[in-house]
Parts: sequence; C-alpha cells; structure tokens
Amino acid sequence: MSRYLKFIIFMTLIIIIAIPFVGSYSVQSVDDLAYLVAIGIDIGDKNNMKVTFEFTRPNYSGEGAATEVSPTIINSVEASSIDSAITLMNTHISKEINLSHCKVIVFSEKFASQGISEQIYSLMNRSQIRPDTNVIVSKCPAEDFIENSQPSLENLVAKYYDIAPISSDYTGYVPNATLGDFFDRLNCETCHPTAMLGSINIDSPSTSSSSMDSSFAFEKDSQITAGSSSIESTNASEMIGTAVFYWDTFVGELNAQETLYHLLIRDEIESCNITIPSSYNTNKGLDLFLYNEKKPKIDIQIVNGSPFVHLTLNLEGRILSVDSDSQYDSEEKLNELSTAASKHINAAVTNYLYKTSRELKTDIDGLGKHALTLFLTEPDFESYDWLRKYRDATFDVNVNVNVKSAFLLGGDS
Amino acid sequence: MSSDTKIGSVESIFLILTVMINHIILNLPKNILETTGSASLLNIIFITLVALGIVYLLCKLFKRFPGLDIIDVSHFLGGKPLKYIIGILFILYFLITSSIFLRSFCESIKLIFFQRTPVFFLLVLFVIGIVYVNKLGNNSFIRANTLIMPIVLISIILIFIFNLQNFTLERMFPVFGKGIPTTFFSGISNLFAFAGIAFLYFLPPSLTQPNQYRTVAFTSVILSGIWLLFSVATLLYIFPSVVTTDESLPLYFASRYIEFGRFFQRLDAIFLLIWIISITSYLSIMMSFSIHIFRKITEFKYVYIIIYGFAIALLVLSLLPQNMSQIYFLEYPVYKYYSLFIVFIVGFTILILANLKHRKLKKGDAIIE
Repeated sequence: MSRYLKFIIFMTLIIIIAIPFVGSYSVQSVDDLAYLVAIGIDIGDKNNMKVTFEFTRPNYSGEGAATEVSPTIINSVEASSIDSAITLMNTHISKEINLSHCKVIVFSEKFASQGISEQIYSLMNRSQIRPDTNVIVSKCPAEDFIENSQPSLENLVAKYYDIAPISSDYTGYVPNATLGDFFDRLNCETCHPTAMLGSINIDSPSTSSSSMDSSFAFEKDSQITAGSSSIESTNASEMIGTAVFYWDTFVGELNAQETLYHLLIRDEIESCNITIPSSYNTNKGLDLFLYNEKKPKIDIQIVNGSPFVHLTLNLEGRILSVDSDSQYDSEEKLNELSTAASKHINAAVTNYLYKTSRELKTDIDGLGKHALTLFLTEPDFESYDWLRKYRDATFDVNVNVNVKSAFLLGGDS
Repeated sequence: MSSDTKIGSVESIFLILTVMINHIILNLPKNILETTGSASLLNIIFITLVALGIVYLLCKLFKRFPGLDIIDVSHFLGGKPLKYIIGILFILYFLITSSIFLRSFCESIKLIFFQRTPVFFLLVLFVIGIVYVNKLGNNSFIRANTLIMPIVLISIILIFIFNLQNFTLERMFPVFGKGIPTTFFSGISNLFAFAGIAFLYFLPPSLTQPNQYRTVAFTSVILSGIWLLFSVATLLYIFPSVVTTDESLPLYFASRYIEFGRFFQRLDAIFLLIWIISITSYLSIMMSFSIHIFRKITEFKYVYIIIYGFAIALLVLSLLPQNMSQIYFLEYPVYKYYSLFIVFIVGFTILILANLKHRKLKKGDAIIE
C-alpha cells in the first residue's frame, strides 16, 4: 500500500471518528442552549418544589441606550426534583438548559428549613455547575427575590450576581458563600454550612429600623439583616447577613454585625468598618477601619468533657470618624481608644460565639478543626462527637485592637 | 520497547514517573486517602521509605545480572516455561491495567465534556493515538514523554500552589488517621502507588549507561514520593468530601477551585488538555512494554501485527466493564492487589530465587551474561 493511500485512509478514519464531537452534529451548539444565570427553589403548591429559572436573553445586542439593562427571562415550574424541573423547562423553552454560567442558587427560607442536601448533591453532580456559584437563602420566596434582583449599576444581570458577593471582602456584612464550600461543609465533621442571606426590602425605612433592638442608636446600622435595612433603592433585593445551617437545615440567621465577626474569626475579610461608642459622647458612635493584623489564634482544650475555646483576635486599624473636637493624635489617646475598642469588640464577639453555640448549636466558624490536634486517631475524634459537644462550649475571647491613627486628618490637639 | 532501544537516565526516570503521575491524575490520591484518612501524608512518607528499601534490594538483586531484564532472569532460573509464564503475567499486567485506566479516564472525560458521545468513540480515539505513537517507534515517544512529563509535573505543583488559599492545614490531624495499625501495617498496601517500579525490571538492557541504574531507580522513587505527597496534600487540605462522595478525577475537581481574580477563571480545561496528552503517552509506553515482552518471549518478527493485535485487545478489554461500579472495582482493589502481586511479589521472588541459583551454580560473585 502506498504511503499516499495510507494517509488517505488514516485521515478518513480520523474524520469519521471526529464527526460526533463536532458541536453542530449534536444539539449542544451554542444556539441550542439556554444559559441560566440564577435558579430559585421554593416549596411548591402542587409538587415538591417550585423551581424558578432566570435566563439571559439570547442574541441581545443592546439596541437601546448604553445604560439599558440587558433583559432576562424568568420562568417557573413545579416539579418533584431539580432534575425533573430542568427537563420540564427544557421541553417548554425548546432549548437545552446549560448551567455553566449559573451564578446564584436561591433557596427560600421555608424550603431551606426542610433541608437542602438533596438539591446541593444534585447540583454538584452536574459537571456544568461551578463550585464558585453562590448560595443564597431568601427570606421571601426565591421567585420574588430573583424577580426583584435588577442591577442598577450594571447592564448585565450575570455580572451583577458575579460582583455582588465581592462586597463581602470590604464590608463583612454578607459572607461569600459558595456551592463548593457548602457541599464540603455538608461532609465536614468539624463545621456547619452557611449561605448568604437575601430578601426584598419593600418596607419603609422607618418601619424596618424600628424593629431593631439595640442599646445604642449607632449600632442600628450594623444590626440589620436582609429585608430590614434602611436602604431605599430601585433594586428591591438585598443581601445582608448569614443564613446558618445545621448540616443541611436552615436554623437561623446572623445579622450584619454578627456576620462581620464570623468572617473576622474565619479570616475571610480584608477590612471592615466597626462602630464603637465614642468616649466623648456615648450616644455617638466612632467608626473604625479595621483588619486582621495576623491570623486569629484559636486554641482548644477539653475541660470536663466540654470544649474550652481560647480565641485571640489581633486587629489593627485607623479612625474614620473625625471632627473638629477629635483628639486622637497623642499615644495616650490612641491607647485609650484601642482599649475601648478591644473591650467593645471582645464583648460582641463573645456574645456572637455563645449565640452560635447555645442558640444556633452550629459550629459555622469551623472551630472544630482546631480540636483535631487533640486526638490521635479519627475514631477517637468521631466518638468525641465535636459538633454535639460544641453546644456546651465555653469561650475565652481576647481581642487586641491597635488603633494607629486617623487617615488624613489627625484631629486637633 | 525494542531490544535495541537505548534510553538515557533522565528519560528512564520520567518513564517510571509516568506510571504514578498518570494514576495520580486519575484516582490514586483518593484511593490512598480512603485507606489512611488524615494520616495519608505520614503514610506516604512511610511507604516512600519502604519503596526506597525495596529499590535498594532490587539493585542488589540485579547486580549479578547486568544487562538482563526480568524475562532473561526468569529464563535463567526456570528455562523457557518460566520465561513464558513471567512474560505472560507481565503482559497481562500492562494490558489489563492500561485498559482499566483507559476506560476509567474516558468515562470521566465523557462525564465532564461529552455526555452524549458514546464512550466507544473516545476509546477508539485514544487507541488510534496509541497505535500511531507505537508505529513511530520507541525513541519518538520516549522523547515525547520526556517533554510532556515536566509539564505534567508542573501542572500538579500549580494545582497545589494555586489552591493554597483554600487549604485547611488542620485536616492533617488526627495525626494517626484511622489508627496506627492502619497507617503503618495495612497502610503498607499503598505501596501499589509505586507500581512504576515494574519498569525497573525491564530497564537494565535499555540503559545507555547501565551504571546509572541505581541512580535512576532511587531518583524516580524519591520524585514519585514527592509528587504523591503534593497531590494527596492538595486533596486532603481542600476537600473533606473527597473520600465520602466518590468524585472521579479528584485532582480535576481541585483545579476547578483555581481562580486568578475575576479575569482568569475556569483554568481546569488547560489542565485536562495537558493530562490527556500525558495519558496518551503513558498508555503508549504500557503498550510498548507489552509488545517488547511479547516479542521477547515469542521472537515474533512482525511488529505491526503485534501493535494492531494489542490495540484491539486493549479496546476490547476496556469495553468489558458494564458500569462505573465495575470500573471502580477493577481500578482500585483489582489494580492495587494485582500490582502488589506482580511488582513486589512475583518480580522479587524471581530475582531472589535466581540469585540463589546463581550462588549455587557459580559459588561466587561471577556475573551472568
């Protein structure tokens, strides 16, 4: 057989085998796919669940003004599982749903209270979905949350969902909870999962802030959760606070301030603003810009069979609130302020930890991983049953704040 | 691997590393974590030391048979019958393990990218690649392997480095994992990870510098141990779920967590592309060794016929498992214990007995030519 003939046979063979991999051969070409950006899951009226799909509009070229928001299509279906909901929706839209650009999965609070492990496992079982997809628990129906999530500063809803959780890095008011992280924590023996807390805010600011229970007026700013903030905006949906899970079941929520301490303990925050009572006027607050100077130090002892947690937070920062009366340029004043801040945050962190332990009964901070060193073997640790013992934990919190100065204005001396 | 092929030291090291690295890509770290839990890193250090001891013994046992491979040694020990038996055992080992490996990897690719494509097409594509590579000759794919292996090694290190931010170092505790007996006694079965030692049985006649055999053996085992440590550490520190949820291609899952800010995401496709090339190279090497042994025991001259025959055998064997459960069974317990049996029991027994026979016949340290 000549070399030429061999080459032709070889190439023909390659082409025949390659045909099934060509996009146009199957239904998997881009034109035949419907790209999802969000999935919402509620309790169904006629079936197990009501699944809401938010799609980007195909071939949208932005004929309108440059600032016009790209429209999305929102459809819902009732089904017995996520997979059958996707199949039903595939039939309805005559395109195949593709999850590779899905940015958020929203569970309604009521649905999450029944347990969501089945849905999380189903989603993780699909190779299209990314582990960095955010998980949100909505205090309102998930469908309403998705319908009201209209970006005001972005043209694309996908970009809005992509950017929104990043505020976690500099506000600390909402965790950047992802599907991959949730899935791992479902299988973790030393921690429990969390999700972002979302809601729509349709109350008037006066109504929502009146529900706050705080000894200081300034603390109302950070003791909010999604749906109860004083924000007035064209975008009614908001994400503030943390949804707390016991294994796969939603058991409670953390407000913005508690979320901030949760992220400080987990060292998942770059910087934050914390308001402490001013030493000059206790009704007034003093805003500090703080960040973890070094990783939080966590030591755990087992005392009388119960965990005794020693937590040391070393924070460093600068003063944000200054006025003409501010006198924070002397070392003495700065030390005084540092001590006051340490004391205030110490009490708040201690309260937060006891809330997770006694009230919520969940180790969302993953403190259990620090107890692993106390055991020689996995069976020893399993028989200790950390997640149950955490309910009886005692906390010794030590917060050291080092306020260095104000920013540009040091205040009068 | 024809008898006249000569391989340099670096090429030989990469040849041995190929076996472990490609099994690392598939499922090896998960299998080790399954056995020893949080003590896996400790277990790997332990089994690496044991593997070094074994390699030391291997070098000692081969000392009296310079330039001979295990087939020649078994011929010396038991004549042609033993030569055939050992040859067939090793051919079956290379062919069965590579067919299981090929099927498992193709099933994983199918799950990730080609859900609707019949696995047969994927298998055929790989088999065509393997046939083509083997037809090009040994030197070409040994050099290609030497080029691709450093990239694969770097890819595993990059997955480790880029995931540092996701690590929970405390997961290496409790230090003794599932218990001291499991870590150090039943955990010794994790030696199957060093199945690449099988190639050491066939390298002596092919080395350009036979005096480098010892260096090649030790370096490849040490490097295998280091990369095994990196890959197991990556999975141990990131996922508590890796053992409980039977994730296929766990290292690929780890690569999905990699992000460079908001601009560079979904780098997993690059890693998978590198690994596909690496796996083709690995399977070609396994096929080449099978052909080499077959030719050696049968003295059959027509190489192309053997290549096509073995390619069909590889394809048929890889199509035999009915479902993933059977593939996992073949890939883990069967591969594990078959590797331990062939590489560490059969090979060693032959060498020890051959040394005893040599001592009896020669009554001294004379070497066998």
